[in-house]
This record gives sequence, C-alpha cells and structure tokens, in this order.
Amino acid sequence: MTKKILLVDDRENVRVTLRDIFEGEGYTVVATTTGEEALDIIDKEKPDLVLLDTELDTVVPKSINGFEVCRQIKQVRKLSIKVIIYTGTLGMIDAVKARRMGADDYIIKGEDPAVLVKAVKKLIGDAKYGK
Amino acid sequence: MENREKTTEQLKEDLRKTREELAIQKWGIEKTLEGMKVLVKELIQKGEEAEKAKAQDEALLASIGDGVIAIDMDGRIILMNKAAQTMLGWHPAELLDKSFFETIPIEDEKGKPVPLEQQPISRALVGTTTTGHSYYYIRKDKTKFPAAMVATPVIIDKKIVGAIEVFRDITKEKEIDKVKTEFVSIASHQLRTPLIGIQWLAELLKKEKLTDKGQEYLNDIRISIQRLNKLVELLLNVSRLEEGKIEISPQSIDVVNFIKKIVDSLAILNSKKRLSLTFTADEPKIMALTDVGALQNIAQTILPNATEYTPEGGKIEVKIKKHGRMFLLTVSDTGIGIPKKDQGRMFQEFARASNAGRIKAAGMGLGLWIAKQATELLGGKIWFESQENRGTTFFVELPLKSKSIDGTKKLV
Repeated sequence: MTKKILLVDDRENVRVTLRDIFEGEGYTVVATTTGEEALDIIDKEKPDLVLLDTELDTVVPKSINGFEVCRQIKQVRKLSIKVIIYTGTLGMIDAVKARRMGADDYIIKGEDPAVLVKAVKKLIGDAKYGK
Repeated sequence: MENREKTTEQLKEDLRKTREELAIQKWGIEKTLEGMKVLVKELIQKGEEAEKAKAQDEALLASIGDGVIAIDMDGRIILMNKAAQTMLGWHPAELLDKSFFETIPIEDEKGKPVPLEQQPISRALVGTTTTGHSYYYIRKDKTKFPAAMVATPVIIDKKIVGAIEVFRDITKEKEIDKVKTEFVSIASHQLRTPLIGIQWLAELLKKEKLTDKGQEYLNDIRISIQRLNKLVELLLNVSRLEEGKIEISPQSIDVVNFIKKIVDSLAILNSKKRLSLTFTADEPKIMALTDVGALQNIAQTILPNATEYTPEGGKIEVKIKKHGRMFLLTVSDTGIGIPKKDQGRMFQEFARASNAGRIKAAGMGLGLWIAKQATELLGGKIWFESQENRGTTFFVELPLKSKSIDGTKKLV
C-alpha cells in the first residue's frame, strides 16, 4: 500500500505534470477538476493529502473553490487529511485565508517541482506506509 | 469576585485568540515570502537564459559570411555584423544610430546614386521584400563593390518596425559573367562564318549530279547545318540579350496565321510520333503590332518544347485568343511535366528540368530564358503550370500593340 494524493486543478497540463512527478515518487495519484468531485473522492477514497488549486472554475463554471474544499475537509468533516493550497496567486490575504480554512501549507506555483515535493514529504512522509 | 474572575478568563481567552490570529498572520507572511523566493529565483533564471540566448544570437550573427544590416523606421542603423563591417570598411561603432541612407551610398551600374525610394532597404520599410537586386555599395574609403542584396521588413505584432538587409560582394561573379558573355559572343560570331561557307557549298552540291547515296548524305548534311544554324542563332540571341540594347520594331501581323504556320510545320516534323496536335483560335484573324523576331523566339521555344517533351500518342493543344488589349497564347501538353523543385528556376539562364535529359539529352536550357526576355521586351508576361508526368501548360500574354524600343541589335 502506498500513500494517496488527490490533485485538484482545473488545468489539464498541471494535473498531468503533477501526476507524473508524484507517481515518480511512488505515491498513488488521483486527480480531478472540480471542488464537488474532489469532496466526493475524499469521502470515498480517503486520500492522505489533497493538493488544491484555489480557482477551480475554468472548466466547470461555479465549481466551489479550493478554500471551500479545504474548509469542508478541515472544519466541516474534521478529517485528518493534510491539505496544501497550490496556487498561482501570490498574496498575503490568500495565504491568511488558507490558514483560516485549516490549510497545512500554501505554495506558489513555480517551474521547479522540488519545492512542492519537499512540502508534501514534510507533511506525509515517503510514499510507503511505515517509513 | 466572580465578575473579576470572569474578566480574567475573558482576557485569557482574548489573548489566546490574539495569539492565534498573530500566528495565522505570521504564517501568511512566511508563506508569501516563500512564494516570492520561488518567483524571484525563476525571474533570475529567465534573465540568465535570455542573456545566454542573446549572446548566442550575437555569435551566430558574427559568424554569418554575408553582410547583415538592420535599420529602424527612421533609417537609423541598429545592427551590423562583422561581414558587413569588413565589406563596407566601417566600424559598427561609427555607424550605430547614424542614418543608413546618409552614410552608406548606393549606386547603379552607371554610377548614378540609386533614389531613396528604389533602394531595397527603404522599400522594405514600406513592406516590400526585394530579392536578387544588385547595386554598388560605396565603402568608407569611397571605393565601390557590386553587391547582391535581399531586404525584408521586420514585423512585430503586425507592424513594421524596421528592415533588415543581407548582402554579398559579387565582384567575382560579375567578372565571370562578363567573361562568359564575351565568350558566347565571340564563339557564336566565329561559328557563323564557317557555317555560312558550308551552307553555301551544300547548296552548290545540290546542283551537281550525285548518286542516290550521295543525295542521301547531302540531305543529312543539310539537316545538320540547319540544326547548327539554329544553335548559333540561339547563342547569338543570348549574347545580344546579355549585352542589352535590343531593338524592338513592331509591325502589323496576323498572329493567328503566324502561330498556325508553326503548328503546321511541327505537325509535319512529328508525323511519325502520333501526336494529337490541335490549334484553335477564338477569331479567324488577330492583328497585332509586334516584333516578329521576338515573337518568333517565344513561339519557337514553347511550341517545339511541347512536342519534344511529350511522349508518343500524347496530346498538344495550342490556343490563341484576344484578352482586352492583349492576346493570350496557351500551349498545353500531356508530356513529362516539370518537377515541382525545378519550377522556380525554369526561366533562368541554363536552367533545365531535372527530368529533361530523359527525353532530350542535348538541351542547353536557354530557350525559356530567351522567351522570357523577349516577352518582357514586348511588354508581356510568360508563365506556366505543370505537374510531373501529367503535363505542362505555358501561357504567354502579349500586348496587341507593343512599343518600339531603340537599340542596336535585333532578335532573329
């Protein structure tokens, strides 16, 4: 059994790149486009970590955003799943908002995936359980 | 007492909340800073990459053997490579930001300055790409050299922002060209004299009593003389055209009859080849004021070419019609066609299609060049459409009234 990561991003190229990276690291990766689907998967598959983009409405308009998904996980369902907000918006207001919703980390999308991988490992460790 | 305890509890609670709030704010600041670091790192990386790309571009530009000069919309020189510097004798630093048109003069063959609006690079500024022009550049030390130049507009976001010119010193080519022209001229004139002698002797021999075998040989000799005559005529026309100064003296002729005669003679010549040769004219008579020698050169190239490059059993259609102030001659064949890769250069001197040798080994690649020069002298246009192994159609559009041109030599 390996640890499971759920990717929530409305851009396909981001999902493909991140899937490659984390599968390369040995994790099981599930990916989806909208906030609603994300909550569905969270309830059914219980991932160890959720990687959340903030804006999720380019493909399906009116999808609930990343902050709301985070609030649902942490404050409504009170699950022990780790949450990283992974966004293109650099700004303190968003970072503080993420923290209030219970996010465990807030990372700016950059070209070097090392920052993200490091943050994931810090939160849930390596892919295999018991390590 | 109770009240005071409550207040203490409340204060503690407030303090805890404030601490929590501060922790959140601090976290927010930390995360924002981390994000900034990521972005700054990427910006620096991108800057370094751009620097590297620029250095590569510059190295590439310096290594190009042709001269490269770029100007902005005001004609100021913004870039000049090493080859341009060597050829023009200027150091880039001396020319940078100076006006191209004021510092680098261009002259034509006769030593006259080329007017601004005709210079390739200023034409590029108004959106015209010029290729294959040759003029003379004047160096810093006032000496000059012939240069072939190509100028194109530089377009960014659909707007012309400047122009770039690539040029090459063609002193050597010019010399070779001159020697070649002289050679062709001398050779053709020198060939002509003995040929006339042979021709005259053959005519005399016709009157002598000859055996059957003798008659047969004489006939072969006369056919060979005819072919040789044609070749010399061709070479003479080439040298006349190369030297310029061709005279065009239009006279009134019926072009339908003119073309029909050529078609008829080709039908006889090719009687063994089982070609279907048809001629249609929209009108029984089309009178045109044209130069017979020039027209002869055009028709005697494209019509025989059609029969020569069409295999047995093929079809050739010759059509002629009036078209406004012009007349259009169309010659279509079902021949071997001209391969796509050769089509662009068919009107150049000594150009032969790569598949032409299969049919006719001895072509010189001069016919179409002469035809094009002759067409242009008459004020017309020549072009073709062709598909390899399917056939070719040549189009010649000529004015019904050509202008006369003064000159010293006529095309024959």
